Amino acid sequence: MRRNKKKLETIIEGVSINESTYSTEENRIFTLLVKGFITYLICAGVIGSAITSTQTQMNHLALNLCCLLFSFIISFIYYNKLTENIGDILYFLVVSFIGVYYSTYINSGFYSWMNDLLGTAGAYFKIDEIGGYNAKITNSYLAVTIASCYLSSIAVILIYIIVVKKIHFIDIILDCGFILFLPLYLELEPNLAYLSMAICGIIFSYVLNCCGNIKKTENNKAYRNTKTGIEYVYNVKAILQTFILIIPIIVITSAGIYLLFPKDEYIQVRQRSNAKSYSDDFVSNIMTAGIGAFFNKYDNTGGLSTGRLGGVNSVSLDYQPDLYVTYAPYNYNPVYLRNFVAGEYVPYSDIWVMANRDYVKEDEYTYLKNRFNDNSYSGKGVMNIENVDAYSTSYSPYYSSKNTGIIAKGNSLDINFYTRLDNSLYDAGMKSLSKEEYEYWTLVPQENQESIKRFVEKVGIEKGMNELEKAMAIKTYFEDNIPYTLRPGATPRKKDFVNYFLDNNKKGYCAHFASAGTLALRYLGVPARYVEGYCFDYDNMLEASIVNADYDKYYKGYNELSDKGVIKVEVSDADAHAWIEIFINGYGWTSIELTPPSSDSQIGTGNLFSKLLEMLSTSDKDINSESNYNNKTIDTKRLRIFLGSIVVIAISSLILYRLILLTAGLIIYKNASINDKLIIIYHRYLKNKSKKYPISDTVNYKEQINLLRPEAQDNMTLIKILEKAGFSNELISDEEFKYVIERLK
Amino acid sequence: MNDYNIKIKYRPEIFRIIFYIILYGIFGVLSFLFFRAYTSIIILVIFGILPVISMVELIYSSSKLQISTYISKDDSNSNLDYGIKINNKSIFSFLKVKLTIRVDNSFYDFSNKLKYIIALHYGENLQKLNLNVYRCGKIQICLENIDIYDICGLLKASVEVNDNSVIDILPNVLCDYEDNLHQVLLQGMTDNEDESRKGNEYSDTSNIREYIPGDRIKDIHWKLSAKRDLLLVRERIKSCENKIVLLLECNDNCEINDQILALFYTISLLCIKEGVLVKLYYYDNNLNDYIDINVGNIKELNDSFSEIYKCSNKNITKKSIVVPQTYIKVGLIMGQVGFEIVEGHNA
Repeated sequence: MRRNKKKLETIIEGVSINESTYSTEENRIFTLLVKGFITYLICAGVIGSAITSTQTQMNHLALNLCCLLFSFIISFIYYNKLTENIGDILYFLVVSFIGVYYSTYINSGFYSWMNDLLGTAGAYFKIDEIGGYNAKITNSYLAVTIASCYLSSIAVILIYIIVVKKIHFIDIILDCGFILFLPLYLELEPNLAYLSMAICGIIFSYVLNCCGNIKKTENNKAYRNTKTGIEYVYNVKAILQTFILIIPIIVITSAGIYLLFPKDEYIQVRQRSNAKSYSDDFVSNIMTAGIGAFFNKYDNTGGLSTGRLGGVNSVSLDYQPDLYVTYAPYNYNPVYLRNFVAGEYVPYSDIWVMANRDYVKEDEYTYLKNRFNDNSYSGKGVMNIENVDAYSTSYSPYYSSKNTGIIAKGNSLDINFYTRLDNSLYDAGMKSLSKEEYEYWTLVPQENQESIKRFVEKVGIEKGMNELEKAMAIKTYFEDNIPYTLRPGATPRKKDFVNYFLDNNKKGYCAHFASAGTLALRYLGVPARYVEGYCFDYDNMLEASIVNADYDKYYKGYNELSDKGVIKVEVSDADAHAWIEIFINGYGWTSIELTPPSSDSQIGTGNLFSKLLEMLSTSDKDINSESNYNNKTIDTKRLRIFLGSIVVIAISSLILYRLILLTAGLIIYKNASINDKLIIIYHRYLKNKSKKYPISDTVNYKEQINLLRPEAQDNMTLIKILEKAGFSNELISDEEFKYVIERLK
Repeated sequence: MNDYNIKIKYRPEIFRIIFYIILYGIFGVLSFLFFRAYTSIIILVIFGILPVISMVELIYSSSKLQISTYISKDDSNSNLDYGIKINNKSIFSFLKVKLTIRVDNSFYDFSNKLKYIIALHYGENLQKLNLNVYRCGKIQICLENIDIYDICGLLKASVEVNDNSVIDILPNVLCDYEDNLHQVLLQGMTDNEDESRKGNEYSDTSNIREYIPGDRIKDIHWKLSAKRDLLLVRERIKSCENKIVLLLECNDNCEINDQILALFYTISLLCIKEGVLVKLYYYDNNLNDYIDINVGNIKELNDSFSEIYKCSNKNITKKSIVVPQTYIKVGLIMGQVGFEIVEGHNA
């Protein structure tokens, strides 16, 4: 049911508003032209921006002409109710017919643009294979042109209704934002002209929304009666003037930014926020894993997967304690707690198989145990590991017995271990591996050989390097070329974890580095194995609580630290880790860290505010050559060009404005009523006389006429005619018109 | 037409500013966090500069406005044309200009405000408010203030104008009464007055002359005739010959009051047309005194109504008052709007 809106008709008892006050008809044609033009600006601006941002080729003239044509058509369809009802149906039929008839071209054009967009996205995210669309029409230029024109025919309806008819400003921002979101996110740059058009359209709609009246369309009237009074509905002259002023503001501002702060300089100084890195990873995951990216998360930093790799988009940590480790620190080195030692890698299944127990020996433990009393650099410790919320499995420090036993959740266990604090790597008297063992620990699956080979070539392993040097070369390469991230993205289906990491993704967390490093070292002939567990470092030790316990009970022997005591370290899922062990002849198995330091901030810790701050902070890895820019000053030549341009534009605009005014004045005079014609002529007369007489001091016709013709006898008649023409609804006669004109001459 | 010195106060539109800041902030945060494209910088700068330009434009342009008003009525006395002429001398236009207009009928104490929202373009903007008036009285149309919003709607310039345009709406002439009134009034007033005379009073005797056959017996001055032994008659001044006294008695009911005023006006007009002077009487409670106005022509009559309208309907007494002459009371007589001739109360 339609509500009857209240109208203020009677102001006070005995005084009512005459209908003639608000019954003035708007200049319908002019209004529709303005509305059509706004529609055109927004549609062409947004569509053009989206297409040009992907560098897709098309005929711009065709798009603009079509958009302009459709905008005016849809605008004039809304001329009145009849044309609206008939026009809507006809327009729909025509658009549908064109859509069906040219569906192949339209689909192909759309697919071409999508392919370009996906290609750009792939390049941005460094994803080689993103599903594309198969365009039937090979001439993408033609297809994209037709598709964009067709799209404009549909978009104008939407834009016209939400922007021009009802001025839903937020809707248009959402619509434009929806279309331009991905190009902007991918840091693509649309054509400046199209962008300016879109911005003009958005600002126009915002301005019209602010003035709040134009949306209240009612019977094509220039005014409407409301419950509080009278509101104008259309004032084309004022709207047009506003638009004419907004356009140069946008153009000059855009040109100014381009000249004073060019794109190249912006690229130099722009910084990547942590949020951007995070979202990049996330979007990248979506593009590779689809909807699974939302769910597939890993609850630790990669060290507790018992060899299962891949399929993990990101790491989501809870930072809650998994283990409490009570021991007496003896040096600054990280402490590793092994819980999984891998043997073979199964490609494409992305899994490390647990090592054959026969090949995992405790020679080092036995060796160190035996030499404990003889060697001054030896030590013997006891580590109490309390399982708070970790998997129920064994957690054994270096160098302890391999049969330490499982620590169930809620339980704790004292584990004896021996330390190896001397640097005598090669005089340990350890046996070398048997041939069978060597082959086992240097096995690289056939499927990984190619990738590993390419990788090793890039690392630049030189002949004569020993095991440690090879490992260090790989570590250096990782540090320099492959960033650490907790959001590496899932390995796509039909891709191998290690190959994808080394060839495509080139980012990852410890499991990636350890897996690839293990296979690379094996490829280089170094016996290596993938190990998982927990690792806590000196920082954890510093944060640990001191335990009031007998030091001698926890540690005996050589200690590198000056301060001795027993501490209780909290180990969380953030400390879960994967690393590698390599076998060095004479020394035995030793742990090697190949994972580069993390550049990711620990988003997720702290309160909401700190999280937000963390998100807002910039990531170090993407700040490029900032220092270069700091030394630069704004080029004065550019400044001169900019200021000169403004002067030229201002003068041109002034001339154009005068021409428009002159033309508009002539048109208005031609169409004006006899009253208005007289007033126009009178004002011109006043303007001419204003140089000689102080016209600005006068406030009405009487004063003006008496000032200009002080001795004339017929001034009263003249004034009456002018007042009649200026203020009453009654038309003056031709004789009166001529009478005034003659007197004014 | 009047012209004014403009006093301007600038007030920020807090909610719209917050809305703009939120929108800008959202895009700014998105740009900083996610849209690192150069495009987003351009958008941010444009949307950052726009409100500044918009507000500067308002401050500059609002000081350049010239405002004048005009009021007129047509011959039928029922149509008012109120014109507001705003000359925008700056090149900037405004899409929301709110005029607050107060309309009063001070005679009846009616008052209400009207909002008139217009757009201002460059140059002269004439806004007309055509009003139908069907209740007489003193109509005041006051352009109280003009609120001008910048194009982004973030700042409001309130221009205090307080311009009063006043116009009197005279009662309608009752054509039906004209014929009756003509006969009744002039003849009736004379006879009544004559009847009220009390014999040998000299107070209104202008001359004494010899009796001429045909003179009324009652005019014979018996005492003087006896002394002089000559039949003398008094020549009396007939008040109806030079002045009629009209007393206005208003009524609380506006409808009835309009009819009373119309009758009052019609009688006055009729007398003037007959060349008779009219003395209009009404009692102003505010002044606690009679107000009498001598009226000899239509202009004076219209001016006298302007004086009557200055006094509110409520302040014109409704009860009969003591007037020292015979007068015509116009008011509610026996429940009907009419008039009656009341014998004067000579002191």
